[in-house]
Amino acid sequence: MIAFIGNLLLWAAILCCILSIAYSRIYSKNPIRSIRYSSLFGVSQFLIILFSYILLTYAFIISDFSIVTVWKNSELDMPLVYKITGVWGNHEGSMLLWILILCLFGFLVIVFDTKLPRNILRNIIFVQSTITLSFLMFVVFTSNPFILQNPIPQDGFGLNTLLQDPGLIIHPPLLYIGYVGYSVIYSFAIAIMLEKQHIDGWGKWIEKWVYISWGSLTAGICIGSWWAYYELGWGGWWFWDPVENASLLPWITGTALIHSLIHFNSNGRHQSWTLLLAILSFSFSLLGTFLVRSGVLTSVHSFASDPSRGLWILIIMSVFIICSLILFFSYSERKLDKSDFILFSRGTFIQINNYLMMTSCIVVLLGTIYPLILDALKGDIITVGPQYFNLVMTPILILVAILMPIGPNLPWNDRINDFILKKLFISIVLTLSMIVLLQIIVEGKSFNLAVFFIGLGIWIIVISIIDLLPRNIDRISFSLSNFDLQAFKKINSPRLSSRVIHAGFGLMIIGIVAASAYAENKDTRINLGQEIQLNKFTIKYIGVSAEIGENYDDLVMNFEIYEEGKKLEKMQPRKRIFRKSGDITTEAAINRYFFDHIFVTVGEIDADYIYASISHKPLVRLIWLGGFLMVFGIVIRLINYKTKLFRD
Amino acid sequence: MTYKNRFLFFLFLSLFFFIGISDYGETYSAEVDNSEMMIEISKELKCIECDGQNVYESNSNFSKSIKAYILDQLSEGNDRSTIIENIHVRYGDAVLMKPPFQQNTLFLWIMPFLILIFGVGFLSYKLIKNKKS
Repeated sequence: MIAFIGNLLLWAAILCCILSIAYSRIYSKNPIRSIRYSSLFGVSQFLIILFSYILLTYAFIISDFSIVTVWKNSELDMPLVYKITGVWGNHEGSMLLWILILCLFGFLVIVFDTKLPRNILRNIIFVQSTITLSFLMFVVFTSNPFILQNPIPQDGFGLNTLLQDPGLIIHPPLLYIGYVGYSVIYSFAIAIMLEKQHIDGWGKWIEKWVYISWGSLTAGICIGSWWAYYELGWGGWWFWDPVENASLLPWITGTALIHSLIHFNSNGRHQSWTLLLAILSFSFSLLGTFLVRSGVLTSVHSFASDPSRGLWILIIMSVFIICSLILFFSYSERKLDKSDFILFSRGTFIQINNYLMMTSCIVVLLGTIYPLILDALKGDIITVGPQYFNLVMTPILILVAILMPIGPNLPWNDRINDFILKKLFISIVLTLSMIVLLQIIVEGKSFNLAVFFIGLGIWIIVISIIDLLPRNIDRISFSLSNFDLQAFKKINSPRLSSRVIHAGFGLMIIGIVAASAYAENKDTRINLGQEIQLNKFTIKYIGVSAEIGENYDDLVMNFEIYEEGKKLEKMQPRKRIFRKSGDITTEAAINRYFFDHIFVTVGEIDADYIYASISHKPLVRLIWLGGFLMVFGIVIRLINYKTKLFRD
Repeated sequence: MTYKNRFLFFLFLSLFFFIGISDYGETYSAEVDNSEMMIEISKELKCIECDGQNVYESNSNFSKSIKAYILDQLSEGNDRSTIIENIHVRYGDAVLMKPPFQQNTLFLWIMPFLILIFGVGFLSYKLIKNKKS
């Protein structure tokens, strides 16, 4: 019954898509009518898909094993929360989630962006529905989640045990909101290019969608890296895994787009480039989907590989990318930029930002698909591992980090003035002195590059903070003697949010550098009762115990940690044995110590000894704190939108 | 010096500072013991039986045998580059995490730097052109 209704709903959604596409194109003489009907079918698309998604979730909750997807990815005694997240823990369900979010964004535009010109809205509905239609066809024909089977099995296979984890509850939806959110931006870009006449002020329209997508993509990537950090058990937070790279590509182009939009909104320059970035961002989302879903790449994420699916997505992807690029190049809204070129201007710095972003984008793309291309063309098999990316990305990142905090201080068109120079001068002095201090305290006489890389992070944070000091005070002097709290309230939200995001990136750099340069690690055999010394921590192994979970049993290794004789919290890394499948996953134990982590995982186990990997990762929490700040900065910006909306 | 000059001077100085240090090499002190050296080396190698894991992280038979081989070679007094080269010769390019610089990876290695150099060139072209006009 569920399967039948589900299938019916999918077909109904296809029908709605076709109708809304049709209505958005015909009735061109009567735009009001055209809009009314195409919006109606746009909204009903969303409601129908939402209902079918709820239906699939319901099938998972009641464990209806007559549906193949449920049977393959759920089991009777799995915890309820994983039954619900199990819906997107597999190919079919996650594609349905993808479509749900696609329709959700279409729905949001129709319902909330009421101030858009009619013809633009119509075009947006047209593009958005076309994307939805193509993915719906893909789902119905190659990965239908509502396929029945007979006889009905007693129990299912259960969700991939690695995915039965709290981090995975929220990671895929957030990542998808980011990925799919770019579809709206793409639709806007196409809608604008489809109009023959010149359109003003479209930068303001797409701003908030860019922020929403970019913000949730950032959050999704951070949570994903957190999951990899403690669940995969290697203690790394970024592996340059092809699928991670696939999510990084739209993130990078999105970052470039945000900056380019700021430029475009302030003085209307680089319109074409901004449009191209909008198209590129969604194209990379599609490319990411293709890479993940087709199984052409092997990675920890590849839980679905079926060549026919890959072909479908490849076709969808190529059509959308090629059509949009053709449209872009035939769209003649290009003016030659005759204005003065000023090196120290915000515009130039944004262009440099965009250039560096595109460079890193090309590097990541090249490193990800080069082995595939080489294999296809010549049959040579090579590996492009983290070493390549670290080596090539580092110089680019250094440039980004040096220039990033300077840009927002510079005037748009004016010559640089003494006030800004004074501010930058003080920031440089502050940063350099902190670097020297750090060198003396941490390194003493030895030389370590890490100090300078941390210095880059400090540099970004210092300027971001100085920027937020009230202007009327620092114009007189940098002393805090005539401190005025009122001035703080005058900081406008775009400025605040941009500095918070930049500072978050700075924190992230510090965390990454400190945790990779100063991490201490011991892979060792520990006997029962033995103590291991790591830095100033003493780790003592006191024995094994067992715990029983809902669908798993935990073998718990108990450790006690002392910091110079003082006892800290107990640590309990686990081996989790899933009853049904017999899969064993490693659950790391993480002890927070200020901004550091003490990280313990267990390898082989014997009666009276175990192999454990114990590490102290200094400042590693800053990585995710930085990520959190970046998302927080976006939230500040979006709250500002909301309040503005109410004021109008 | 005016603030402007001072600023430019410092900017100039710090740029050199960072570009200079960006040429980082990996240095290893002589007294690291064999097991630590083994970890360093095994992180440079890919487990060719697994999906995207390096030899250090993986527990496959391949990785176990490679780890044992590295320890063996280290105790015989061979150094890092010889051991990696031996394994490279035996298992091909796929075993190296960092692709070797050779004909079929030329594009991979050269491309990023070409783009950067082009960018710098373009910027200086604009600056010079701007100064003339």
